[in-house]
Amino acid sequence: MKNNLEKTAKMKSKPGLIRNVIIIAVVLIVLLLLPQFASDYIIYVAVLAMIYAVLAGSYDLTTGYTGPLTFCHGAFYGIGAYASALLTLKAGFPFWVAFPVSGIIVFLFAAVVGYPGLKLKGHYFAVTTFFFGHFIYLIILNSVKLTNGPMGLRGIKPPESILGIDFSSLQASYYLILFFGLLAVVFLFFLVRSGIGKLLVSIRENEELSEAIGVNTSFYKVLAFSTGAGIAGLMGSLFAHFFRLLHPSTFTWMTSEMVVIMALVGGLGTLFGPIIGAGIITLILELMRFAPEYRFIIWSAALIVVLVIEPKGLMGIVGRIRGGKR
Amino acid sequence: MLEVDKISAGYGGIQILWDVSLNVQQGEIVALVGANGAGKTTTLKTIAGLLRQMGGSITFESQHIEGMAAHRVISQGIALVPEGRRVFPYMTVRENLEMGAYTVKKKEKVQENLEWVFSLFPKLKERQSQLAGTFSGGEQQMLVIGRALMSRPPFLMLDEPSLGLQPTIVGTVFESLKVLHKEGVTILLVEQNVRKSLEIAQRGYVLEHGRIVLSGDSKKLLANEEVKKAYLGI
Repeated sequence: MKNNLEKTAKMKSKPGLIRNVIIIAVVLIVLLLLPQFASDYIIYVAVLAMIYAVLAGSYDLTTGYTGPLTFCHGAFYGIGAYASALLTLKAGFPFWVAFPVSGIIVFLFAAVVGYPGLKLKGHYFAVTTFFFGHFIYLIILNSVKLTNGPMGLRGIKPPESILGIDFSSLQASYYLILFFGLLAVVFLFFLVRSGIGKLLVSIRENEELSEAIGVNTSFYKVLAFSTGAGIAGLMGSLFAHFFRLLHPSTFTWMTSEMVVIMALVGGLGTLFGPIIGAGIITLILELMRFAPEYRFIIWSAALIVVLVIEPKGLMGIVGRIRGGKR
Repeated sequence: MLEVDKISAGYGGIQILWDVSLNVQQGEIVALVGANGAGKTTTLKTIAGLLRQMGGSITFESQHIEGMAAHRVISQGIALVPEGRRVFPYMTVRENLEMGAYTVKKKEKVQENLEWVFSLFPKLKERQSQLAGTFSGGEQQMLVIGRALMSRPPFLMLDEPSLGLQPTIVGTVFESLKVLHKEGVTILLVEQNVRKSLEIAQRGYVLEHGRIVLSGDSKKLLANEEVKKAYLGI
Protein backbone atom coordinates (compact mmCIF):
# COMPACT_ATOMS: atom_id res chain seq x y z
CA MET A 1 0.00 0.00 0.00
CA LYS A 2 2.63 2.52 1.03
CA ASN A 3 4.88 1.54 -1.86
CA ASN A 4 2.06 1.78 -4.32
CA LEU A 5 1.08 5.17 -2.96
CA GLU A 6 4.59 6.47 -3.48
CA LYS A 7 4.66 5.09 -6.99
CA THR A 8 1.32 6.58 -7.88
CA ALA A 9 2.45 9.88 -6.44
CA LYS A 10 5.49 9.77 -8.71
CA MET A 11 3.44 8.86 -11.75
CA LYS A 12 1.03 11.70 -11.07
CA SER A 13 3.72 14.26 -10.36
CA LYS A 14 5.77 13.60 -13.52
CA PRO A 15 3.65 14.17 -16.58
CA GLY A 16 6.57 13.96 -19.04
CA LEU A 17 4.25 15.26 -21.73
CA ILE A 18 6.81 15.81 -24.47
CA ARG A 19 8.31 12.35 -24.13
CA ASN A 20 4.86 10.75 -24.23
CA VAL A 21 3.93 12.71 -27.34
CA ILE A 22 7.12 11.54 -29.04
CA ILE A 23 6.47 7.90 -28.11
CA ILE A 24 2.90 8.08 -29.39
CA ALA A 25 4.02 9.80 -32.60
CA VAL A 26 6.64 7.10 -33.29
CA VAL A 27 4.13 4.30 -32.67
CA LEU A 28 1.61 6.01 -34.94
CA ILE A 29 4.11 6.46 -37.75
CA VAL A 30 5.17 2.81 -37.53
CA LEU A 31 1.54 1.68 -37.58
CA LEU A 32 0.73 3.94 -40.51
CA LEU A 33 3.70 2.86 -42.59
CA LEU A 34 3.59 -0.82 -41.67
CA PRO A 35 1.60 -2.07 -44.70
CA GLN A 36 4.08 -0.33 -47.02
CA PHE A 37 6.99 -2.55 -46.11
CA ALA A 38 5.66 -5.48 -44.10
CA SER A 39 4.63 -8.89 -45.42
CA ASP A 40 1.02 -10.05 -45.36
CA TYR A 41 1.78 -12.26 -42.41
CA ILE A 42 3.08 -9.33 -40.36
CA ILE A 43 0.01 -7.32 -41.29
CA TYR A 44 -2.23 -10.13 -40.00
CA VAL A 45 -0.29 -10.23 -36.76
CA ALA A 46 -0.48 -6.45 -36.43
CA VAL A 47 -4.25 -6.53 -36.95
CA LEU A 48 -4.62 -9.15 -34.23
CA ALA A 49 -2.39 -7.12 -31.94
CA MET A 50 -4.50 -3.99 -32.53
CA ILE A 51 -7.75 -5.84 -31.89
CA TYR A 52 -6.40 -7.36 -28.70
CA ALA A 53 -5.02 -3.99 -27.63
CA VAL A 54 -8.47 -2.43 -27.85
CA LEU A 55 -10.03 -5.45 -26.13
CA ALA A 56 -7.60 -5.13 -23.24
CA GLY A 57 -8.09 -1.37 -23.09
CA SER A 58 -11.87 -1.66 -23.00
CA TYR A 59 -11.56 -4.46 -20.45
CA ASP A 60 -9.56 -2.07 -18.27
CA LEU A 61 -12.59 0.21 -18.04
CA THR A 62 -14.43 -2.29 -15.86
CA THR A 63 -11.74 -4.19 -14.04
CA GLY A 64 -8.98 -1.59 -13.98
CA TYR A 65 -10.94 1.59 -13.37
CA THR A 66 -14.21 0.48 -11.78
CA GLY A 67 -13.00 -2.60 -9.90
CA PRO A 68 -15.10 -5.70 -10.56
CA LEU A 69 -13.01 -8.57 -11.90
CA THR A 70 -14.63 -10.09 -14.97
CA PHE A 71 -13.81 -13.09 -17.16
CA CYS A 72 -16.17 -12.72 -20.09
CA HIS A 73 -14.70 -10.05 -22.33
CA GLY A 74 -14.03 -12.65 -25.01
CA ALA A 75 -17.73 -13.55 -25.00
CA PHE A 76 -18.74 -9.96 -25.78
CA TYR A 77 -16.14 -9.93 -28.53
CA GLY A 78 -17.70 -13.14 -29.87
CA ILE A 79 -21.27 -11.88 -29.68
CA GLY A 80 -20.22 -8.78 -31.62
CA ALA A 81 -18.45 -10.88 -34.25
CA TYR A 82 -21.34 -13.29 -34.77
CA ALA A 83 -23.99 -10.57 -34.59
CA SER A 84 -22.26 -8.56 -37.28
CA ALA A 85 -21.58 -11.59 -39.49
CA LEU A 86 -25.16 -12.84 -39.22
CA LEU A 87 -26.65 -9.40 -39.80
CA THR A 88 -24.77 -9.18 -43.09
CA LEU A 89 -25.07 -12.82 -44.15
CA LYS A 90 -28.61 -13.71 -43.11
CA ALA A 91 -30.37 -10.36 -42.87
CA GLY A 92 -28.53 -8.78 -45.77
CA PHE A 93 -27.52 -5.59 -44.01
CA PRO A 94 -24.42 -3.78 -45.25
CA PHE A 95 -21.38 -3.82 -42.99
CA TRP A 96 -21.78 -0.13 -42.22
CA VAL A 97 -25.11 -0.87 -40.57
CA ALA A 98 -24.14 -4.19 -38.98
CA PHE A 99 -20.99 -2.71 -37.43
CA PRO A 100 -22.64 -0.09 -35.19
CA VAL A 101 -25.68 -2.29 -34.59
CA SER A 102 -23.53 -5.15 -33.33
CA GLY A 103 -21.86 -2.72 -30.90
CA ILE A 104 -25.23 -1.56 -29.64
CA ILE A 105 -26.50 -5.13 -29.32
CA VAL A 106 -23.52 -6.10 -27.19
CA PHE A 107 -23.86 -2.90 -25.12
CA LEU A 108 -27.51 -3.67 -24.34
CA PHE A 109 -26.77 -7.34 -23.79
CA ALA A 110 -24.06 -6.49 -21.27
CA ALA A 111 -26.41 -4.06 -19.52
CA VAL A 112 -29.03 -6.79 -19.16
CA VAL A 113 -26.43 -9.19 -17.78
CA GLY A 114 -24.62 -6.58 -15.72
CA TYR A 115 -27.61 -5.03 -14.00
CA PRO A 116 -28.46 -8.07 -11.89
CA GLY A 117 -24.93 -9.51 -12.05
CA LEU A 118 -23.16 -6.48 -10.65
CA LYS A 119 -25.23 -6.68 -7.50
CA LEU A 120 -22.95 -9.61 -6.65
CA LYS A 121 -19.72 -8.62 -4.98
CA GLY A 122 -16.12 -9.56 -5.65
CA HIS A 123 -15.42 -13.21 -6.39
CA TYR A 124 -19.07 -14.05 -6.85
CA PHE A 125 -19.37 -11.71 -9.78
CA ALA A 126 -16.06 -12.92 -11.23
CA VAL A 127 -17.23 -16.54 -11.13
CA THR A 128 -20.58 -15.57 -12.66
CA THR A 129 -18.88 -13.85 -15.58
CA PHE A 130 -16.60 -16.83 -16.10
CA PHE A 131 -19.54 -19.16 -16.53
CA PHE A 132 -21.46 -16.59 -18.52
CA GLY A 133 -18.55 -16.44 -20.96
CA HIS A 134 -18.48 -20.20 -21.27
CA PHE A 135 -22.25 -20.27 -21.69
CA ILE A 136 -22.03 -17.88 -24.66
CA TYR A 137 -19.35 -20.06 -26.22
CA LEU A 138 -21.59 -23.12 -25.86
CA ILE A 139 -24.49 -21.27 -27.44
CA ILE A 140 -22.36 -20.22 -30.40
CA LEU A 141 -21.02 -23.75 -30.72
CA ASN A 142 -24.38 -25.50 -30.54
CA SER A 143 -26.74 -23.19 -32.38
CA VAL A 144 -25.77 -24.93 -35.57
CA LYS A 145 -28.67 -23.61 -37.62
CA LEU A 146 -27.80 -20.03 -36.84
CA THR A 147 -24.04 -19.96 -36.40
CA ASN A 148 -23.14 -23.10 -38.33
CA GLY A 149 -21.63 -24.32 -35.05
CA PRO A 150 -18.28 -26.13 -35.17
CA MET A 151 -18.19 -25.95 -38.98
CA GLY A 152 -17.62 -22.24 -38.71
CA LEU A 153 -19.24 -19.36 -40.50
CA ARG A 154 -17.83 -18.72 -43.97
CA GLY A 155 -18.25 -16.23 -46.71
CA ILE A 156 -18.44 -13.11 -44.59
CA LYS A 157 -18.00 -10.11 -46.85
CA PRO A 158 -15.46 -7.37 -46.43
CA PRO A 159 -16.85 -3.90 -45.66
CA GLU A 160 -18.42 -2.24 -48.70
CA SER A 161 -16.35 0.50 -50.24
CA ILE A 162 -17.07 3.93 -48.90
CA LEU A 163 -15.82 7.34 -50.08
CA GLY A 164 -14.22 5.51 -52.96
CA ILE A 165 -12.07 3.35 -50.69
CA ASP A 166 -12.23 -0.34 -51.50
CA PHE A 167 -11.77 -2.55 -48.42
CA SER A 168 -11.26 -5.85 -50.17
CA SER A 169 -7.47 -5.52 -50.06
CA LEU A 170 -5.52 -6.47 -46.98
CA GLN A 171 -3.89 -3.06 -46.69
CA ALA A 172 -7.16 -1.16 -46.83
CA SER A 173 -8.72 -3.43 -44.19
CA TYR A 174 -5.66 -2.88 -42.05
CA TYR A 175 -6.15 0.88 -42.19
CA LEU A 176 -9.83 0.47 -41.40
CA ILE A 177 -9.04 -1.45 -38.22
CA LEU A 178 -6.26 0.97 -37.34
CA PHE A 179 -8.69 3.86 -37.72
CA PHE A 180 -11.42 2.40 -35.51
CA GLY A 181 -8.86 1.04 -33.05
CA LEU A 182 -7.37 4.49 -32.60
CA LEU A 183 -10.83 5.99 -32.31
CA ALA A 184 -11.67 3.51 -29.53
CA VAL A 185 -8.43 4.27 -27.69
CA VAL A 186 -8.99 8.02 -27.94
CA PHE A 187 -12.56 7.57 -26.70
CA LEU A 188 -11.37 5.47 -23.75
CA PHE A 189 -8.59 7.96 -23.02
CA PHE A 190 -11.00 10.86 -22.70
CA LEU A 191 -13.56 8.75 -20.87
CA VAL A 192 -11.21 7.71 -18.06
CA ARG A 193 -9.96 11.26 -17.67
CA SER A 194 -13.44 12.73 -17.57
CA GLY A 195 -15.62 13.26 -14.53
CA ILE A 196 -17.16 9.86 -15.18
CA GLY A 197 -13.69 8.30 -15.05
CA LYS A 198 -13.17 9.81 -11.60
CA LEU A 199 -16.48 8.39 -10.41
CA LEU A 200 -15.46 4.95 -11.67
CA VAL A 201 -12.18 5.17 -9.76
CA SER A 202 -14.06 6.21 -6.62
CA ILE A 203 -16.17 3.06 -6.93
CA ARG A 204 -13.03 0.95 -7.30
CA GLU A 205 -11.37 2.53 -4.30
CA ASN A 206 -14.32 2.35 -1.95
CA GLU A 207 -17.74 1.52 -3.24
CA GLU A 208 -19.66 2.18 -0.05
CA LEU A 209 -17.94 5.50 0.47
CA SER A 210 -18.66 6.47 -3.11
CA GLU A 211 -22.30 5.66 -2.49
CA ALA A 212 -22.27 7.68 0.72
CA ILE A 213 -21.08 10.68 -1.29
CA GLY A 214 -24.09 10.34 -3.51
CA VAL A 215 -22.79 8.46 -6.53
CA ASN A 216 -25.29 6.07 -8.11
CA THR A 217 -22.72 3.30 -8.03
CA SER A 218 -24.85 0.54 -9.54
CA PHE A 219 -25.62 2.72 -12.56
CA TYR A 220 -22.00 3.62 -13.20
CA LYS A 221 -20.82 0.04 -12.73
CA VAL A 222 -23.27 -1.16 -15.36
CA LEU A 223 -22.34 1.78 -17.60
CA ALA A 224 -18.62 0.94 -17.45
CA PHE A 225 -19.28 -2.77 -17.96
CA SER A 226 -21.58 -2.21 -20.94
CA THR A 227 -19.39 0.43 -22.57
CA GLY A 228 -16.36 -1.86 -22.38
CA ALA A 229 -18.47 -4.72 -23.72
CA GLY A 230 -19.84 -2.58 -26.55
CA ILE A 231 -16.32 -1.69 -27.67
CA ALA A 232 -15.38 -5.39 -27.55
CA GLY A 233 -18.45 -6.07 -29.70
CA LEU A 234 -17.32 -3.51 -32.27
CA MET A 235 -13.89 -5.14 -32.35
CA GLY A 236 -15.60 -8.48 -32.89
CA SER A 237 -17.42 -7.05 -35.88
CA LEU A 238 -14.16 -5.74 -37.35
CA PHE A 239 -12.52 -9.10 -36.73
CA ALA A 240 -15.34 -10.95 -38.49
CA HIS A 241 -15.17 -8.78 -41.61
CA PHE A 242 -11.39 -8.76 -41.69
CA PHE A 243 -10.81 -12.51 -41.46
CA ARG A 244 -14.16 -13.29 -43.15
CA LEU A 245 -14.34 -16.58 -41.29
CA LEU A 246 -15.64 -17.22 -37.79
CA HIS A 247 -15.20 -20.26 -35.65
CA PRO A 248 -16.49 -20.75 -32.08
CA SER A 249 -13.02 -21.74 -30.89
CA THR A 250 -11.90 -18.10 -31.28
CA PHE A 251 -14.27 -17.17 -28.46
CA THR A 252 -13.59 -19.76 -25.77
CA TRP A 253 -12.75 -18.84 -22.20
CA MET A 254 -9.10 -18.79 -23.31
CA THR A 255 -9.78 -15.56 -25.18
CA SER A 256 -11.32 -13.93 -22.12
CA GLU A 257 -8.42 -15.21 -20.06
CA MET A 258 -5.91 -13.79 -22.53
CA VAL A 259 -7.50 -10.37 -22.25
CA VAL A 260 -7.37 -10.54 -18.45
CA ILE A 261 -3.72 -11.55 -18.53
CA MET A 262 -2.81 -8.87 -21.07
CA ALA A 263 -4.39 -6.26 -18.85
CA LEU A 264 -2.65 -7.63 -15.76
CA VAL A 265 0.74 -7.74 -17.42
CA GLY A 266 0.30 -4.23 -18.76
CA GLY A 267 -0.97 -2.83 -15.47
CA LEU A 268 -4.64 -2.56 -14.54
CA GLY A 269 -6.17 0.88 -14.30
CA THR A 270 -3.61 2.57 -16.53
CA LEU A 271 -5.36 2.18 -19.91
CA PHE A 272 -2.10 2.33 -21.88
CA GLY A 273 -0.65 -0.52 -19.85
CA PRO A 274 -3.21 -3.09 -21.04
CA ILE A 275 -2.96 -1.74 -24.60
CA ILE A 276 0.81 -2.12 -24.65
CA GLY A 277 0.59 -5.43 -22.79
CA ALA A 278 -1.81 -6.77 -25.41
CA GLY A 279 0.46 -5.70 -28.23
CA ILE A 280 3.53 -7.29 -26.69
CA ILE A 281 1.80 -10.53 -25.74
CA THR A 282 0.28 -10.98 -29.19
CA LEU A 283 3.71 -10.54 -30.73
CA ILE A 284 5.32 -12.97 -28.31
CA LEU A 285 2.62 -15.55 -28.97
CA GLU A 286 3.19 -15.23 -32.69
CA LEU A 287 6.97 -15.37 -32.41
CA MET A 288 6.60 -18.61 -30.50
CA ARG A 289 4.48 -20.30 -33.11
CA PHE A 290 7.27 -22.82 -33.64
CA ALA A 291 6.45 -24.32 -30.25
CA PRO A 292 2.72 -23.87 -29.87
CA GLU A 293 2.42 -26.27 -26.95
CA TYR A 294 5.05 -24.54 -24.90
CA ARG A 295 4.26 -20.92 -25.47
CA PHE A 296 1.48 -20.75 -22.91
CA ILE A 297 3.66 -22.38 -20.30
CA ILE A 298 6.50 -19.99 -21.01
CA TRP A 299 4.49 -16.85 -20.86
CA SER A 300 2.36 -17.98 -17.93
CA ALA A 301 5.67 -18.18 -16.13
CA ALA A 302 6.51 -14.74 -17.50
CA LEU A 303 3.20 -13.44 -16.13
CA ILE A 304 3.95 -14.77 -12.66
CA VAL A 305 7.40 -13.22 -12.74
CA VAL A 306 6.05 -9.82 -13.83
CA LEU A 307 3.37 -9.81 -11.16
CA VAL A 308 5.72 -10.91 -8.39
CA ILE A 309 8.23 -8.23 -9.32
CA GLU A 310 5.69 -5.50 -9.99
CA PRO A 311 1.97 -5.80 -9.17
CA LYS A 312 1.26 -2.74 -11.28
CA GLY A 313 2.53 -4.58 -14.34
CA LEU A 314 4.61 -3.07 -17.11
CA MET A 315 3.38 0.44 -16.33
CA GLY A 316 4.64 -0.01 -12.79
CA ILE A 317 8.05 -1.08 -14.07
CA VAL A 318 8.15 1.91 -16.40
CA GLY A 319 7.17 4.18 -13.51
CA ARG A 320 9.95 2.70 -11.41
CA ILE A 321 12.54 3.32 -14.10
CA ARG A 322 11.36 6.89 -14.54
CA GLY A 323 11.18 7.51 -10.83
CA GLY A 324 14.75 6.33 -10.36
CA LYS A 325 15.49 4.49 -7.16
CA ARG A 326 12.66 3.50 -4.88
CA MET B 1 -35.46 18.78 10.17
CA LEU B 2 -34.94 15.03 10.50
CA GLU B 3 -37.60 12.86 12.05
CA VAL B 4 -36.88 9.18 12.59
CA ASP B 5 -39.94 7.29 13.75
CA LYS B 6 -39.68 3.79 15.18
CA ILE B 7 -37.30 2.31 12.67
CA SER B 8 -36.08 -1.24 12.85
CA ALA B 9 -33.19 -2.51 10.78
CA GLY B 10 -30.61 -5.24 10.65
CA TYR B 11 -28.35 -7.36 8.52
CA GLY B 12 -29.41 -10.58 6.87
CA GLY B 13 -32.34 -11.37 9.12
CA ILE B 14 -30.61 -10.38 12.35
CA GLN B 15 -32.40 -7.38 13.75
CA ILE B 16 -30.15 -4.73 15.27
CA LEU B 17 -32.41 -1.72 15.73
CA TRP B 18 -35.68 -1.93 17.60
CA ASP B 19 -38.10 0.98 17.22
CA VAL B 20 -35.48 3.70 17.26
CA SER B 21 -37.00 7.17 17.21
CA LEU B 22 -35.11 10.41 17.22
CA ASN B 23 -35.37 13.87 15.76
CA VAL B 24 -32.98 16.66 14.91
CA GLN B 25 -34.13 20.27 14.70
CA GLN B 26 -32.65 22.90 12.40
CA GLY B 27 -29.46 24.39 13.82
CA GLU B 28 -28.85 21.74 16.46
CA ILE B 29 -26.00 19.43 17.24
CA VAL B 30 -27.50 16.16 18.39
CA ALA B 31 -25.32 13.39 19.76
CA LEU B 32 -26.21 9.72 19.46
CA VAL B 33 -24.03 7.89 21.94
CA GLY B 34 -23.66 4.33 23.09
CA ALA B 35 -21.25 1.49 23.53
CA ASN B 36 -19.66 -0.56 20.78
CA GLY B 37 -22.27 -2.63 18.97
CA ALA B 38 -25.24 -0.67 20.26
CA GLY B 39 -26.41 0.06 16.71
CA LYS B 40 -25.17 3.63 16.21
CA THR B 41 -23.61 3.04 12.82
CA THR B 42 -26.61 0.96 11.75
CA THR B 43 -28.87 3.89 12.60
CA LEU B 44 -26.83 6.26 10.42
CA LYS B 45 -26.60 3.80 7.56
CA THR B 46 -30.34 3.32 7.65
CA ILE B 47 -30.97 7.06 7.54
CA ALA B 48 -28.52 7.45 4.65
CA GLY B 49 -30.20 4.68 2.69
CA LEU B 50 -27.16 2.41 2.69
CA LEU B 51 -29.27 -0.12 4.56
CA ARG B 52 -32.95 -0.91 4.03
CA GLN B 53 -35.09 -0.38 7.12
CA MET B 54 -37.42 -3.19 8.12
CA GLY B 55 -40.05 -0.90 9.51
CA GLY B 56 -40.76 2.64 10.62
CA SER B 57 -40.47 5.91 8.77
CA ILE B 58 -37.79 8.52 8.18
CA THR B 59 -38.65 12.03 7.06
CA PHE B 60 -36.24 14.78 6.12
CA GLU B 61 -37.64 18.29 5.70
CA SER B 62 -41.10 16.69 5.83
CA GLN B 63 -40.30 14.38 2.93
CA HIS B 64 -40.25 10.63 3.29
CA ILE B 65 -36.78 9.25 2.58
CA GLU B 66 -37.09 5.72 3.91
CA GLY B 67 -36.38 3.09 1.30
CA MET B 68 -34.68 5.62 -1.00
CA ALA B 69 -31.38 4.66 -2.61
CA ALA B 70 -28.37 6.30 -0.98
CA HIS B 71 -27.55 8.56 -3.92
CA ARG B 72 -31.06 10.02 -3.80
CA VAL B 73 -30.95 10.59 -0.05
CA ILE B 74 -27.65 12.42 -0.42
CA SER B 75 -29.11 14.66 -3.10
CA GLN B 76 -31.82 15.73 -0.63
CA GLY B 77 -29.13 17.60 1.31
CA ILE B 78 -27.87 15.03 3.77
CA ALA B 79 -24.15 14.43 3.94
CA LEU B 80 -22.60 11.43 5.64
CA VAL B 81 -19.09 11.12 7.01
CA PRO B 82 -18.66 7.35 7.28
CA GLU B 83 -16.77 5.60 10.01
CA GLY B 84 -13.05 5.04 9.81
CA ARG B 85 -11.77 8.17 8.03
CA ARG B 86 -12.39 6.77 4.61
CA VAL B 87 -10.63 8.71 1.91
CA PHE B 88 -9.91 7.67 -1.66
CA PRO B 89 -6.22 6.98 -1.03
CA TYR B 90 -5.04 7.13 -4.64
CA MET B 91 -6.74 10.43 -5.34
CA THR B 92 -5.27 13.78 -4.44
CA VAL B 93 -6.74 15.89 -1.66
CA ARG B 94 -8.34 18.14 -4.21
CA GLU B 95 -9.84 15.23 -6.15
CA ASN B 96 -11.23 13.83 -2.91
CA LEU B 97 -12.85 17.17 -2.17
CA GLU B 98 -14.25 17.45 -5.68
CA MET B 99 -15.80 14.00 -5.30
CA GLY B 100 -17.68 15.38 -2.34
CA ALA B 101 -19.27 17.99 -4.57
CA TYR B 102 -20.62 15.26 -6.80
CA THR B 103 -24.24 16.28 -6.27
CA VAL B 104 -23.44 19.93 -7.02
CA LYS B 105 -24.00 20.51 -10.70
CA LYS B 106 -22.73 24.07 -11.16
CA LYS B 107 -18.99 24.50 -11.66
CA GLU B 108 -18.83 27.92 -9.99
CA LYS B 109 -20.65 26.58 -6.96
CA VAL B 110 -18.07 23.79 -6.63
CA GLN B 111 -15.28 26.35 -6.73
CA GLU B 112 -17.06 28.49 -4.16
CA ASN B 113 -17.57 25.54 -1.81
CA LEU B 114 -13.94 24.55 -2.31
CA GLU B 115 -12.84 28.02 -1.20
CA TRP B 116 -15.13 27.74 1.80
CA VAL B 117 -13.69 24.36 2.84
CA PHE B 118 -10.15 25.68 2.31
CA SER B 119 -10.96 28.66 4.54
CA LEU B 120 -12.20 26.29 7.25
CA PHE B 121 -9.25 23.93 6.88
CA PRO B 122 -6.29 25.92 5.52
CA LYS B 123 -4.06 22.85 5.80
CA LEU B 124 -6.04 21.15 3.06
CA LYS B 125 -5.34 24.05 0.73
CA GLU B 126 -1.60 23.88 1.34
CA ARG B 127 -1.52 20.19 0.50
CA GLN B 128 -4.23 19.94 -2.13
CA SER B 129 -2.12 18.06 -4.66
CA GLN B 130 -0.88 15.45 -2.19
CA LEU B 131 -2.34 11.92 -2.36
CA ALA B 132 -4.89 11.47 0.38
CA GLY B 133 -3.45 8.09 1.36
CA THR B 134 -0.24 9.74 2.52
CA PHE B 135 -2.07 11.86 5.11
CA SER B 136 -1.94 11.16 8.84
CA GLY B 137 -5.07 10.03 10.66
CA GLY B 138 -6.02 13.48 11.89
CA GLU B 139 -5.43 15.07 8.50
CA GLN B 140 -7.54 12.40 6.83
CA GLN B 141 -10.37 13.13 9.25
CA MET B 142 -10.17 16.82 8.32
CA LEU B 143 -10.26 15.83 4.67
CA VAL B 144 -13.26 13.57 5.20
CA ILE B 145 -15.18 16.33 6.97
CA GLY B 146 -14.11 18.81 4.31
CA ARG B 147 -15.30 16.44 1.61
CA ALA B 148 -18.70 16.08 3.27
CA LEU B 149 -18.98 19.87 3.32
CA MET B 150 -18.29 20.23 -0.39
CA SER B 151 -21.96 19.82 -1.21
CA ARG B 152 -22.65 22.57 1.35
CA PRO B 153 -25.15 20.31 3.07
CA PRO B 154 -27.71 21.73 5.45
CA PHE B 155 -27.49 18.49 7.41
CA LEU B 156 -24.36 16.54 8.27
CA MET B 157 -24.14 13.10 9.87
CA LEU B 158 -20.81 11.99 11.31
CA ASP B 159 -19.96 8.45 12.30
CA GLU B 160 -17.29 8.25 15.02
CA PRO B 161 -15.09 11.10 13.82
CA SER B 162 -12.78 10.72 16.83
CA LEU B 163 -12.26 6.97 16.53
CA GLY B 164 -8.60 5.97 16.56
CA LEU B 165 -7.24 9.49 16.71
CA GLN B 166 -4.67 10.59 19.24
CA PRO B 167 -6.21 12.64 22.07
CA THR B 168 -4.79 16.02 21.04
CA ILE B 169 -6.30 15.65 17.56
CA VAL B 170 -9.66 14.54 18.95
CA GLY B 171 -9.91 18.03 20.46
CA THR B 172 -9.24 19.62 17.08
CA VAL B 173 -11.91 17.52 15.39
CA PHE B 174 -14.54 18.56 17.93
CA GLU B 175 -13.45 22.19 17.61
CA SER B 176 -13.97 21.98 13.86
CA LEU B 177 -17.48 20.63 14.44
CA LYS B 178 -18.26 23.69 16.55
CA VAL B 179 -17.06 25.89 13.70
CA LEU B 180 -19.34 24.06 11.29
CA HIS B 181 -22.24 24.52 13.64
CA LYS B 182 -21.57 28.25 13.71
CA GLU B 183 -21.63 28.21 9.92
CA GLY B 184 -25.20 26.98 10.16
CA VAL B 185 -24.80 23.25 9.56
CA THR B 186 -27.14 20.99 11.51
CA ILE B 187 -25.25 17.99 12.85
CA LEU B 188 -26.11 14.48 13.95
CA LEU B 189 -23.05 13.11 15.69
CA VAL B 190 -22.55 9.45 16.48
CA GLU B 191 -19.83 8.88 19.04
CA GLN B 192 -18.31 6.51 21.53
CA ASN B 193 -16.62 9.47 23.16
CA VAL B 194 -19.66 10.24 25.26
CA ARG B 195 -18.29 13.13 27.29
CA LYS B 196 -16.83 15.13 24.43
CA SER B 197 -19.82 14.71 22.17
CA LEU B 198 -22.38 15.59 24.84
CA GLU B 199 -20.29 18.64 25.67
CA ILE B 200 -20.68 20.12 22.22
CA ALA B 201 -24.23 18.87 21.58
CA GLN B 202 -27.47 20.48 22.68
CA ARG B 203 -29.35 17.23 22.96
CA GLY B 204 -28.42 13.60 23.10
CA TYR B 205 -29.77 10.11 22.73
CA VAL B 206 -28.32 7.03 24.40
CA LEU B 207 -28.56 3.83 22.40
CA GLU B 208 -28.25 0.45 24.11
CA HIS B 209 -28.70 -2.91 22.40
CA GLY B 210 -30.50 -1.29 19.51
CA ARG B 211 -32.97 0.67 21.61
CA ILE B 212 -33.03 4.30 22.71
CA VAL B 213 -32.85 4.11 26.50
CA LEU B 214 -32.32 7.75 27.41
CA SER B 215 -32.70 11.06 25.70
CA GLY B 216 -32.85 14.72 26.44
CA ASP B 217 -30.81 17.81 27.13
CA SER B 218 -27.13 16.95 26.89
CA LYS B 219 -26.22 18.81 30.10
CA LYS B 220 -28.78 16.74 31.96
CA LEU B 221 -27.54 13.54 30.32
CA LEU B 222 -24.00 14.35 31.40
CA ALA B 223 -25.26 14.75 34.96
CA ASN B 224 -27.37 11.60 34.82
CA GLU B 225 -26.17 8.98 37.29
CA GLU B 226 -26.65 6.03 34.92
CA VAL B 227 -24.81 7.75 32.11
CA LYS B 228 -22.02 8.66 34.47
CA LYS B 229 -21.68 5.12 35.69
CA ALA B 230 -22.01 3.37 32.34
CA TYR B 231 -20.14 5.70 29.99
CA LEU B 232 -18.12 8.25 31.88
CA GLY B 233 -16.57 5.91 34.40
CA ILE B 234 -17.31 8.08 37.40
